[in-house]
Parts: sequence; C-alpha cells; structure tokens
Amino acid sequence: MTYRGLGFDPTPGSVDAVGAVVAQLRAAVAALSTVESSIDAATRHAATWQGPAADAFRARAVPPADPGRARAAIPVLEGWAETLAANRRHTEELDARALRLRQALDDARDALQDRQNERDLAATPAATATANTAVTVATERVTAVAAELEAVLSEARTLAGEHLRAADEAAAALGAEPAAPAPEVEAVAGVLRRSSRTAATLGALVAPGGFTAPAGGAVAAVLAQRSPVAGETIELETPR
Amino acid sequence: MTGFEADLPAMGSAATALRAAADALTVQLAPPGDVGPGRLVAAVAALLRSTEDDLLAVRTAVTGLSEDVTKVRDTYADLDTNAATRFDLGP
Repeated sequence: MTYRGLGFDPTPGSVDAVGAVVAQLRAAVAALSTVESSIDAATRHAATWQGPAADAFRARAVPPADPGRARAAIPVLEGWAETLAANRRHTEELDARALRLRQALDDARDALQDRQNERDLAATPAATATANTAVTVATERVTAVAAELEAVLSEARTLAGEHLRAADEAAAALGAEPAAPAPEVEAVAGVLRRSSRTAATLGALVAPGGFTAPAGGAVAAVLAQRSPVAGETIELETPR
Repeated sequence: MTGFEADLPAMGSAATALRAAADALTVQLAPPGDVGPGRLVAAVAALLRSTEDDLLAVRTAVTGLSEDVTKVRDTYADLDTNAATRFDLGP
C-alpha cells in the first residue's frame, strides 16, 4: 500500500496476514498436541491384547515430539502483530498530516505566485514595496510548510527503519539466518569505502550541487542495506 | 511371556482411534501473505514448511501404526480361521 501523503509505505505488512499464520500455527500445535492423548486412548483400547506383537505395537505407539518451534513462534508473531498494528496507525496519522501539509504547500505556492504577480504588476514604488513585503511573507510561508512536510516525511522514514528492525528481530526469533549483503551492494560499498573522491564523484554524477533527491540504482541498494526504506532521500553536497 | 491373547474388537477400536488421530492431523497450512518487510516472509514460510513437515511425519507414523494394527488383527483372524479349517478337514 502506498500512502498518497507520504509517497511510500513505511510500515509494510498486514495484521490479518499475521493473524492467519498464528491461527494456522495454533491449529497445527493443537493437532500435534492432541495426538498424544489419541495414541494413549488407542493403547488403552488394546490393553487386553497381549503377546509379542502387542508389545511391539506398544513400543511404537509413542507420542510425537512436542511441536516446540511452532508453539514458540506464536507469541513472537502475536508480538509482531501488535507492533505492526501500532506502526500502521502511526503511518496513517503521518500520512494524514502529510496530505494536509501537501495541500497547504500547494496553497502557499499558489499564494506566493499570486503575490509575485501582484508585485510584477505594481504600478507605483509604494505598491511595489507593499508587494515585496507580501512576497517575502508568502515565501516564508512556503518555506515553513515545506519544512513541516519534510519533518513529517523524516518521521515516516525513521518509523520505517524502526519497523524494519522490529520485523528483522521477529524473523531472527523465528530462526531466520542473518541476511548476507548482496554482492552488488558489497561491490559498491567497497568502492565507496576505498575512495571518498569516488563517492563524491558518484554524487556529482547524480546531480551537481547540494540537493535532496530520492536515491536510485546502486546508491539506493547501498542505502537499502544500511536502512532499506523505499523512497528514502539522501543528502549530497558538492565537494569543496 | 509365552503365547498371546488377541482381543480382535479391542484391536479394531485401537486402529480406529489411531486413524481418527491421523485424520485430525490434516491441517492445511497456506503460504504466508504480506506478514511484513525484510526477512520476515521467508522466516514465516520456513516455519510453516517445517510445521507442515512435522504434521506429515506424525500423520504418516500414526496412519502406519493404525494400518499395522489392522493387518495384525486380520492376521490373527486368518490364523484362527485357518486353524478351524484344519479341524473341519477331519483326521
């Protein structure tokens, strides 16, 4: 799901999907747990059966091992579901704020354009001075709203990082092996580590000057390894 | 001990109880949906596969036990029938 205000989904995952997995695990654990009593019942039924074959049957009629891994996974997934639900609520709040701020930013930019038009059309020095003041106020408004929006987007990126870390912890608790870095990520990271000039050139190739832009390609891959958040922006500066 | 005592109805009941236990182990585990980002989907999928393997192993074992009890019961019954036939043949 992509949130229109944020432009990306910082907290992917479905509480319902996690709930479905928990339900399946509960059913499996219950089935594996009740088979022990069923086997006991079967051996009781056959209590009057005696002899070597009966002894061999009883030797084989042993309960299965406790489904410990599946049982232990249930609280892990329930905990993750709570985290997921809370993070998604947080995302929705952030998205609503971002949507309002995007609208406010559009309005502020429109207002700025209007003030600039008024200044262009000012016929007298006094009118020009008044229009200049209005343009300054409108510009400050645009800057302030843009900063507010950036703060919300930054909070969403932070939330995305926390969300991913929580998911990773849950995966580790379920027995997942640590993720190995992708070869292409290692290669790019190696280049960046060896030469800061190369890193600066990479940045200059993307766009000259100080800027904020969505990361793409290999740079995005490196960032994803550090904090894999879709839509994350990076800050690059021209080397001095 | 020497000899044996075969309670065929009791053995039938035991086989039926085991077959019911095996049937109860038929739990359908669907692949996970969108449970979350990163390694989580793979970890949950592996967990479900492992649980499915456990279920299958136990179901196979219990089904086999049920079938063996039934076969042994039938063997006892055949043995007794054959023995009776021998007497029927006369000296």
